[in-house]
Amino acid sequence: MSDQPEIHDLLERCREGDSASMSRLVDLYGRRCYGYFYRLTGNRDTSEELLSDLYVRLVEKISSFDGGSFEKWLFTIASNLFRDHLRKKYRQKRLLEQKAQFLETDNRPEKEIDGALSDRLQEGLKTLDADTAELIMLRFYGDLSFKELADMRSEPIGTTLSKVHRGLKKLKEWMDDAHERKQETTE
Amino acid sequence: MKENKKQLNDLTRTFYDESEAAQMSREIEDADALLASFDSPCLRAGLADQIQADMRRRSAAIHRKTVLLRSLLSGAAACLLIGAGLFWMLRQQAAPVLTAGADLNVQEIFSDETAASIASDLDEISEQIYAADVAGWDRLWDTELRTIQEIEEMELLTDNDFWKG
Repeated sequence: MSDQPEIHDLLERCREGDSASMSRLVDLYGRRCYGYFYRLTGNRDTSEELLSDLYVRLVEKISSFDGGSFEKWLFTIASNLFRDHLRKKYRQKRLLEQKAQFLETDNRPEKEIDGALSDRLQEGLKTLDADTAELIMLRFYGDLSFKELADMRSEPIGTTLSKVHRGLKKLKEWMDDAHERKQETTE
Repeated sequence: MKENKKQLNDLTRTFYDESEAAQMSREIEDADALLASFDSPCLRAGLADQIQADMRRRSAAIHRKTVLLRSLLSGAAACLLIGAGLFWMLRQQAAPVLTAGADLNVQEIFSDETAASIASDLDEISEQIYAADVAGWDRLWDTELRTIQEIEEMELLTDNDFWKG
């Protein structure tokens, strides 16, 4: 999906503090990374915050990029940020539960953000466990191979393949059903 | 990058038999196509600019920190070099140590006047010693010689057997 030599040049210029190259990086990957965060959190504000953090983290870690697949490197950072976010959210939720307060966080997906299809995908993703949903989104938005996903998770490639296959199958079935239900109600 | 159709088939065939692998590949491709039919959510207007500004700010901060760290390290290295240089110079300026066989030029240590005065004193002393020795030498030698002769005579007497009767 990306031209690796161009990316390497861009990163080199970013390392030197070149503003135009930073803008180019945001143009190239901003939407994909935002999509990844949005599909997993279902919240626009949180996704914007995570995206902003991701690019700041990218600037901080740019010198640690060893020249392999940029997408794998970028989405590994994105995945770590998302997991940190989940841990933080879990801690907050537990704290609030202990105080017996009703948690009114903004973790519900926004309605009609990109049309009915997007809502259906968003709802479908919620039927999967968090790890599988993340693997599917990493594969889709990060354009990562099963091998890259397995490396990221430090697990055998067969395990990753099986998890993603099961998840995709379940997601497709759920979405097909949802589509039929919607058609029945409109009729 | 994601596998193409052939790579996906090869991958599934390493774990499943032919028919299962083909079905799995098909299901994965169908689901991928379904996901691709959804548009990615768009970035809010102004978000990209905000992110770019954050990146520039962070980059500048990192650059400043690096420059500061480099300056500190350079300063420390310079101080170390100056210190070492001063130490070496002070050691060089300390009193010279005379070693056996080294040529000693008194003029390097004393001024010309002092050197001349010491030299004349030494000459005077050596003349006095020479005069004293030459005057008393024969007398001293004569006394010592006689004492040795007396001792030898006494030894001869004691070695003889006449007194034994």
